[in-house]
Amino acid sequence: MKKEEAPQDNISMYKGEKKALYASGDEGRFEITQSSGWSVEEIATLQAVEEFERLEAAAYREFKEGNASPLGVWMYRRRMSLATLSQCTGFWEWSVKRHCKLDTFKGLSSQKIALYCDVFDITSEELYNPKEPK
Amino acid sequence: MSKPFVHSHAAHCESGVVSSLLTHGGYPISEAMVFGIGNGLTFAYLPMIKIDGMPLIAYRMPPRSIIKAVEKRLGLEVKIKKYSNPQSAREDLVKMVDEGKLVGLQTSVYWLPYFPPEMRFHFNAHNLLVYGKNEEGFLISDPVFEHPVVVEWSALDKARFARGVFAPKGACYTIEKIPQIIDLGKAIKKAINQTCNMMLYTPLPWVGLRGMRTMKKAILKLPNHPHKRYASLYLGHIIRMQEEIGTGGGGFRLMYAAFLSECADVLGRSELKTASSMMGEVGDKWRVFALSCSKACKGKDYSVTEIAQRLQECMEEEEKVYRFLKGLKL
Repeated sequence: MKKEEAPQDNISMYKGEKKALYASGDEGRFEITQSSGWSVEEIATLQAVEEFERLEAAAYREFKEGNASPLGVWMYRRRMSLATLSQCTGFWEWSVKRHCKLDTFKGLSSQKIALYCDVFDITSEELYNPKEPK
Repeated sequence: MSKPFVHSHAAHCESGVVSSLLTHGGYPISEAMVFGIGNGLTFAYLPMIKIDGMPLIAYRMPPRSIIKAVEKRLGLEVKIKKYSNPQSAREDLVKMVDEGKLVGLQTSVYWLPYFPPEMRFHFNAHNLLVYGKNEEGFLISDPVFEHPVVVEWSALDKARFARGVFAPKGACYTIEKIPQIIDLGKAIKKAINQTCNMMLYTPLPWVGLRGMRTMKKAILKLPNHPHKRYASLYLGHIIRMQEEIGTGGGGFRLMYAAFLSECADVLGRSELKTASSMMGEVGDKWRVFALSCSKACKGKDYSVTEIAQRLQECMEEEEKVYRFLKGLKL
């Protein structure tokens, strides 16, 4: 890639910032050059973000309909998968899955609730009543 | 009073931090050189390790390996500390900053307030530098950002004590000693040979060129996956590992090209310039591969055979570079 070929697609998530890329300049030497982003990167990043938003919206519907605990909403809102939340809390994946069920969630000890709040960085009030996703 | 710190913009966090630490400590060295002698370059495809349901794909060595390799190759003295609680970690950091030390930190990306929201994911092995403090918080030089930032105390605590895989546990590091005489040429030769051997001869199907072959097979099987969305998410995941996380473009291949051209000057071997431009072309091939993957993410028609073909081209060209470098008998 030559310096003048470095993509300058002004991608949305850079918020006007630039990222360092390596490209060849004079005499073919590779050096750092500034890029305002590449649309290919933008597509992939937004796809990953939207996938979490899709899962969050589905979890929120389940919660509102009274079929699931609010845990799933917070998990996806914090861009976590079952595996990530399990690693962050130290609970087994199957336990986290059970905590997503309403009945099991209601019976959780206050320590476990506090741990979830700490991992999500929220108060227990917020944990029980997640706001509607944007 | 120590000399003022100068922020420099780099492509990748770990090599950028080490380059700044050494340069500030009196041994000016570029990011690309750190990456090269730190044996940063690799390819790994580990389907048994999942990240959010996707296989682990890495274009560089695991976190901290660059620091460790550079420490060994240049004979540095690096002090790494971990803490059991945020309070003592913060107190110690304040103490080090007051002593005028430049401190490298391992943090999570998700909890850093200055990261754009779309780019916050749970990756716990991000590296940044602390070069001072003011009444609001610590002065941070994050090499992948254009400018230094201020991070409020408790936000930094949260980022340093994130849980999960690669949990930083407040890890921080300083370079305590840089030797008077450094044989950079020797370090370069060793590092290049080691990288070539790993890429060509690792007897595992997940590492080096063999890893690329395994990923190619997996791509060809994508249409058989029961979930329709999986293929497109999978290809998007590859792009993110290759281009989004600070790789300098083409999954670190362009940065390695910069390393090789610097080596040509240090060792006075013009063949390394040829190797550099060959590696540059490999980087471009990887970007063409990413472009073909991106069609799938956009929901356009795409063919896995075409994508696999692009990957095959990367593999073949990259193999030529390593064989060429081996042939130089450095």
